[in-house]
Amino acid sequence: MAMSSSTEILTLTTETTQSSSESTTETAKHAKKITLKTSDNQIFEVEESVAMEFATVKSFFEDSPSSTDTVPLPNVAAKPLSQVIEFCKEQIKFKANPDEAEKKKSNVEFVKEKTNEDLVEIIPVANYLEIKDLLDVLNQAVADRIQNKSVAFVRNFFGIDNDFTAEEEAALRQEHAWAHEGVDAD
Amino acid sequence: MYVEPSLRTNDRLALEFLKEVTQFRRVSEAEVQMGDVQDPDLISDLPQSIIEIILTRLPIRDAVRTSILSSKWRYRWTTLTHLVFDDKCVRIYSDRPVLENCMVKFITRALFLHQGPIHKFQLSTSFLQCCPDIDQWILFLSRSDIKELVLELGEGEWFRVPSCLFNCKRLTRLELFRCEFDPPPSFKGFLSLRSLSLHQVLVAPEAIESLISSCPLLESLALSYFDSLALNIRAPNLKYLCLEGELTDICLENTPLLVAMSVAMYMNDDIAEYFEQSSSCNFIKFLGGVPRLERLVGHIYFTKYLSIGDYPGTLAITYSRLKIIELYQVSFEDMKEIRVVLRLIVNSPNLKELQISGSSTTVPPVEAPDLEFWAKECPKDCTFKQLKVVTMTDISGVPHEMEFMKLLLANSPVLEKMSITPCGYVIDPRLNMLVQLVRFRRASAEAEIIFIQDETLCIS
Repeated sequence: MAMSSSTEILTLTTETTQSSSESTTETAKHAKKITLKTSDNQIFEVEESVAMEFATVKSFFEDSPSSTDTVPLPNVAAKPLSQVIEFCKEQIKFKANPDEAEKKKSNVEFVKEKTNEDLVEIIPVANYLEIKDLLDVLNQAVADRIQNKSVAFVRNFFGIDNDFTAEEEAALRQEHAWAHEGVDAD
Repeated sequence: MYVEPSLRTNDRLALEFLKEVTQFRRVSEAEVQMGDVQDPDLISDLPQSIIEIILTRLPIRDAVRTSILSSKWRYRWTTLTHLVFDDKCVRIYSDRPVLENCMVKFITRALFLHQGPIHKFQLSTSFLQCCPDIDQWILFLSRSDIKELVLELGEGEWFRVPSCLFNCKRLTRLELFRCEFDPPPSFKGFLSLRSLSLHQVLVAPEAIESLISSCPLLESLALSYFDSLALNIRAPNLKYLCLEGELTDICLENTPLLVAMSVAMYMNDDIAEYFEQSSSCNFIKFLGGVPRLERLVGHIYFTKYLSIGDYPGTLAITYSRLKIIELYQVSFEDMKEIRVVLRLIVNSPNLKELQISGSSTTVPPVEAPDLEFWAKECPKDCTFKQLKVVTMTDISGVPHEMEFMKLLLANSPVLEKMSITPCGYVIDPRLNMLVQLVRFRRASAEAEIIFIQDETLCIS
């Protein structure tokens, strides 16, 4: 991360602790904090180290290192972004002190209390921001939750609209009877 | 991990299916009446790459079933590039032939419906042995750009690998269990192969040697459960080596990039006799050409194996990257084995971690131990400058074990921890061991000695 020397001097001053609902993009204290704006116009100020976990944000700053602009995230809503930030903060701790067992535990905790809707909402966000570790954790969690469930459950889980007619669906099940072995009475 | 308990038995699934199909029309009418109740479909429009990751993490059966979710999903599973088939693919039938038939049918149909390249194919099942369908699957895979192939079949008649396997030009990883492997004479090697694992595979030794030499990119090699394996390994890019079995004569002829190795040897009387007669230096043959070694793990009989043969007196290489040494079942009553251990640690200036398990017996030694040995064998200025952690297990307290620990403590200025676990059946000598340990000089003021006794720790 390239940083001009003038901004380095600023890091010695005390950090601002603005709450996420306020925003002042005019202040030049972005040496450590980066401002993100979500699709529902919420502003988040995050530490640079956290924001750099987002590959999209990282490349934005690689192109213009001393930019103090707010990074717009038109595809990202506030709620999933806050959850993503929570995850990235934990990840940074593990980068400093690698501990596989603790990391796994932390990942488990992260997904544990998330509802199915939460998970499904965060995946596109993690994909858009290109956060590989988070994507891995989420994808695995989703796979675990839909494993061995009925088709109706999976549809509901993802909010998928069933556009087959009853006849089409029955025909498909027949075609794939070999995969539904446990379902069809043999 | 959050996993809903899988409450469904197969009978309940059958009922569920019938219910779903008969209620379907009712459900959709209700939805229409209630207006737009559905949550927005967030997932179907995600890029195929994400969907594929999720589907790949599902058991293959669940992945195939997604074809019924909606018309968008009908063929999404068919382009999966990783296919893993295991015992969970099919319902368990008590009638073995029915079960095998089901499994064969499942795999064949999945492959037939599949579109596009298949990069990874894994078949790990105890339900199938050798059957002609497997040959056809491998033929299909050889035409699908297969890169990783894992075949682990059941005990029973061993599967004979068909010749079309040797046409898989893009193979990067091959793992085979319990089969017969016979490369045709025209086979020139897998030019992209990076990882090779053969477990309990029937293959002529010359064939393995030439297979290894003809895979120029090979980085990882694992061979296990071989009978009387004698090999010259020529693999200029090899980094990881794992050998397990009856090894009679291994020579790492050309493995300059080796980073880690793990060796476990089985011994029987014939081999022991063979060892007695051999005069070439096993230590040099094994460890003479691995200057980049970072981690060495030697299981039972490894130090004994290395001690065979006439050692020329000086070692031409220094293991300057070797950080971790683990040696199991080292007999501290065999002078030659002790010399091997000393040779290793003295020539590894950057050693950080040392783990040794002893294998001395409680039978009192026939001759008095030669304690002058240590003064003679160790270079005067030998210091283990980076050694931080030492773990000694199965220690019976024989004099040479104690001398060894004394040597380590006196010459390890940055030692942080030495933990000692006496072997289970040694009770009386423990106090004696502790008494001696307490007297040993420590070069490192920070060193903690942890003596592990059953569940309690005595820390000094």
